[in-house]
Amino acid sequence: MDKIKFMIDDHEVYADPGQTILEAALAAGIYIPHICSHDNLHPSGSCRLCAVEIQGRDGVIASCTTKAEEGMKVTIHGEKADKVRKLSLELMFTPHPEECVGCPKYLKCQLQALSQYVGISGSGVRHRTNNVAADRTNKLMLHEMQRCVLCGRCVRVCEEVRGVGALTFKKVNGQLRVVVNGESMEQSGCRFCGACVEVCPTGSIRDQIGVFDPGLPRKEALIPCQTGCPAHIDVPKYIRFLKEENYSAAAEVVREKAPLPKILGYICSHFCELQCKRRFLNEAVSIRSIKRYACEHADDAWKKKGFMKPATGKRVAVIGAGPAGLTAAYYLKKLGHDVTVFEEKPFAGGTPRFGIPEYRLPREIIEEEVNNIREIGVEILVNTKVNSVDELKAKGYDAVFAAVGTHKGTKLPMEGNDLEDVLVNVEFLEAASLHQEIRLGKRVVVLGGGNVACDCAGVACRLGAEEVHIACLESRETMPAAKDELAEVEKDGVIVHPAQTFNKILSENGKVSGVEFSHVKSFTFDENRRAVIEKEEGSEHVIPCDTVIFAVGQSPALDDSFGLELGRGKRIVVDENYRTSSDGVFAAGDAVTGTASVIQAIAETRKAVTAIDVYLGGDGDISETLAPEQNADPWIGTIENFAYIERQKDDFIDDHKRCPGFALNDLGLNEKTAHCEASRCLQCDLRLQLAPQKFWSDYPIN
Amino acid sequence: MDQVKQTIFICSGAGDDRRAQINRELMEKHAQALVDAVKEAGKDADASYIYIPAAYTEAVKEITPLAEPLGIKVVTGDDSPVCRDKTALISAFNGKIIRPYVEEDQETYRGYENIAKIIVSVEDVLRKAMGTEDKKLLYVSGAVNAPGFVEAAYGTNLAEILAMAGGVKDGSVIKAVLVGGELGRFIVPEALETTIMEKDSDIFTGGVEVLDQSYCAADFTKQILEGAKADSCGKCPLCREGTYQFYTIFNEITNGKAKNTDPALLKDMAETIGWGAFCSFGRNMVNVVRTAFDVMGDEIEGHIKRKKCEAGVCKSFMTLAILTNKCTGCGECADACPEDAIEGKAGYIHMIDNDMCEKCGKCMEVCEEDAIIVVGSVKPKLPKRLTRVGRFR
Repeated sequence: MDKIKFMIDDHEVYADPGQTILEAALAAGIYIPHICSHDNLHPSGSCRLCAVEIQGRDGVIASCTTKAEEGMKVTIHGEKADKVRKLSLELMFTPHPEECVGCPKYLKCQLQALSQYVGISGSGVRHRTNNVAADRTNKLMLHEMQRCVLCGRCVRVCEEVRGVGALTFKKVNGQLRVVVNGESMEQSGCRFCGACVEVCPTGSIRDQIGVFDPGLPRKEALIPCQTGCPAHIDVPKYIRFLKEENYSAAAEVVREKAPLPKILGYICSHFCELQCKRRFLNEAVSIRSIKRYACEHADDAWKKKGFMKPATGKRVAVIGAGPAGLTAAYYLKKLGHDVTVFEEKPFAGGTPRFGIPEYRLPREIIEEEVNNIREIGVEILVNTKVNSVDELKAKGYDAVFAAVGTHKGTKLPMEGNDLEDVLVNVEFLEAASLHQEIRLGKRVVVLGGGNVACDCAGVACRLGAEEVHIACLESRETMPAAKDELAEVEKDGVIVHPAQTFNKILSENGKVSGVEFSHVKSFTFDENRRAVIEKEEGSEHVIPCDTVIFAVGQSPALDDSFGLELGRGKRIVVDENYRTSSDGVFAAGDAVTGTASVIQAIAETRKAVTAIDVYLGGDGDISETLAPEQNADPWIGTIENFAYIERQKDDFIDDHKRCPGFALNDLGLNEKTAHCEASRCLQCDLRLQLAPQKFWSDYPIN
Repeated sequence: MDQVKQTIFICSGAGDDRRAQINRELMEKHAQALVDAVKEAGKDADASYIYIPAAYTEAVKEITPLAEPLGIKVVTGDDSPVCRDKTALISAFNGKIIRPYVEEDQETYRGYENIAKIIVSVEDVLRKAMGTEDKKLLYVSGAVNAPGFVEAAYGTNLAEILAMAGGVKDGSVIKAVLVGGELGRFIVPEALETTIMEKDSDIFTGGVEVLDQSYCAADFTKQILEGAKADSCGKCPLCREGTYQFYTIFNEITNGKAKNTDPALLKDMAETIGWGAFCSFGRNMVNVVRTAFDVMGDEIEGHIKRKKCEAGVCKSFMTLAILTNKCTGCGECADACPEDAIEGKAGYIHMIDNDMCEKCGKCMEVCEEDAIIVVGSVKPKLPKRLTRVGRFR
């Protein structure tokens, strides 16, 4: 349709049919003052600040509710219009607190900006105190409605855009107010989407302090799960796909950023959940289990999507077939390079295959994901040890990626650590994974407080140990093990002894007979990151046992003969582009960072792949779109008792089937609980659909 | 535009003047006729409703049992003169707070899309049915001999309307007539005959209040504005805060705290709000302020400039005095005073502390000697200390 041509002051403006004068003006970069108007809301006409005069029409016209017409001549600053604007703003300020500097919205407040633009003169109007008590009871949003100027944007966005209606107008003691539509936010039907915060022009409705990181850019701060994920997987998007029962699309969203989605579904360290905004309301959304459910119900249509670049003729060697190595191989192959993976062990998979016990991660899941990578033409050579990077260079590889992981366990220097029944985490878990025979006693003590210690203890239980203990230096609260993993081993019957220092391993006739501990008074690190332990005098005590397993850390099984500069803990030294000391050799994953998580290894490796591709002459771009576009519906409506819906627990095998044997423990969510969990998502990202707040200075013509 | 899917007919009993409840009177007196009239008027609509302000309990009780058997639904809810606006009525009709909106843009999400709404007032529905559309019910009050409802034909002038209410009270001197309540205008006495009730007049909506010398212009205007402040829906700041400013400043005028600049401020605000308010309520409520100054400006400004309430209504300007020649020292007044503002003892002339006195007049009621009077700025000579009855001179 033809554009409508009209004049605003001296400017020719073109409007779409149906556009209001205000919309057309703002789109043309011409500022007309306004506060109740918002790009995403229907015009309300309440603030009267957008008053203009139109040639040939009497009086003052609200430009937000008047449609542009061909040939119209609009004057923004006519005498009457300016008087209306000024008085309206002045009256809006009469109940508004006079403190501006003390307001958290200072310098980010649209009302304040308007007062600068329009100018407030002391015309003699009476000020009054807006006696509304602040409501800071909700953990996500706070209401300091003494600052409210009743522009109604919060009420409107909640009603018009979200279809929720958690906020409403109400006359209280004869004064109109914006109030919560119920006893509390929780009981108002509120979906905690934050749209009200997003549109509030003043400091009245705000995010609780601490909910979002003010140091981050808006887009990152507002979606803490995605920002918290090292690979920045678009969590809200795949949760919505799951809700739509489009499980394949959900899995594709994950796959866009991480090529091992199923493994992640089982054992990801879920940094997303740790950041989930819902944790302030009751508990975080069970994001990892949602991912697992989606991946388990997805098809393999993704295989036909994504990029596959033509062959470059370059050859890349990848050392190690763990998460980092597999990720690198996958993307490098897709970039057109010829990739060979060298794996020392008899199976590909790395730590997930040899470190994580099969009752947590079924081996066929790993096989499936490894096969997906083989399928695109990656060659994985197992039982093939690489002794030094030079050996590969000599074979003519154009680039080498070293992702050897941390597969050397550590024993603490203490009396008795060389006894026969003293085992080390890595070897113990690997032997169990390979179903090798392990000499394990009836009473086992695991030394260490991390996730690996939990795995060792869990495996010991399943191998038939009758009494398993975990002892660690850290207090219960500061134990590095994830809370859920700790809870799991405790279900296995493992006894946890936090805040213990290990004095010595006792023996009788050359056999382990127990471990002597002292209670720890304090445990800190000095500036060199060395542990400083203060023992409680005279608190020595013994836990009798016949097997001890050290799970106190691990390092790469490397030495100088490998041909790369090694740093602290024998970790490979890399620069910001993942380049090692040897030209053409790159590294990432645990071997660089020390034992971390699968998702961190994947995220780091993706960046390393880009560096390798650039090194090989490519553009380094591995971004791809696998999932369909999603138009997230802003109309979220209400869900009964939304605020109170508890986090759904995964299904588990019956307690009596846990030990002995290695049956899968955690069965994940079922259809009902997966959808329930998905519905708990606050969809923080919907806020980004709302137009950011602009000020008069943002418009070129003001 | 899409096609209209449905038509609803709403007979509205809302929007009465606070002080002249025409719809209420008609609903209570003519319940059966109204229900029949609605049945007829809404016969082409898909559904018919009668909207009755919840406060009109008698009307709800009368009409509901008559309406429902005829398939007419009774809906109750909030009420104020803002409801004369169609969209404001729709919001009240839907159980929400009264708040007018921009109709064409906001129908969709509100769920009234493509629903045509025919809204007719109770009086119009009844008159159409009875064939008396040339008449209008008014409520005449104040300084007339027979205050009450009056049915006048369009074309009648204000003088004739007052005559229909028994005429102006003997001894009354009219200073103004407020026609139309809080959305109306003050009319000067000289214009009674030239003020004619036309059809579709914006002020002949019901209330006709005759002010004589016993009314204080400032106090009466303040009362009207207090109603406007309560009735403003609060949507736009011009009306929400404007009515607050009007009421507050008029209140200050009546208690002697207003400033010389306030009349100009009030007139200026009234003009600007009249240009800019969102709905007709806001644009019209300013007329009370404007015409109050036009018609009774001297009297109002007298409160500010001369600290004087001509009508003796505003207590802040009043002084009570006990006449030294009449007081018998009985002590009845001191016993009756709730503020303990009267000093005296048996046989002594009693004295009023005017700083403590709240001007409630209880002392005047109990004094058998009529010794206590209200005085203006000229005060009689009074004792400064307790003096025996008969000894003061």
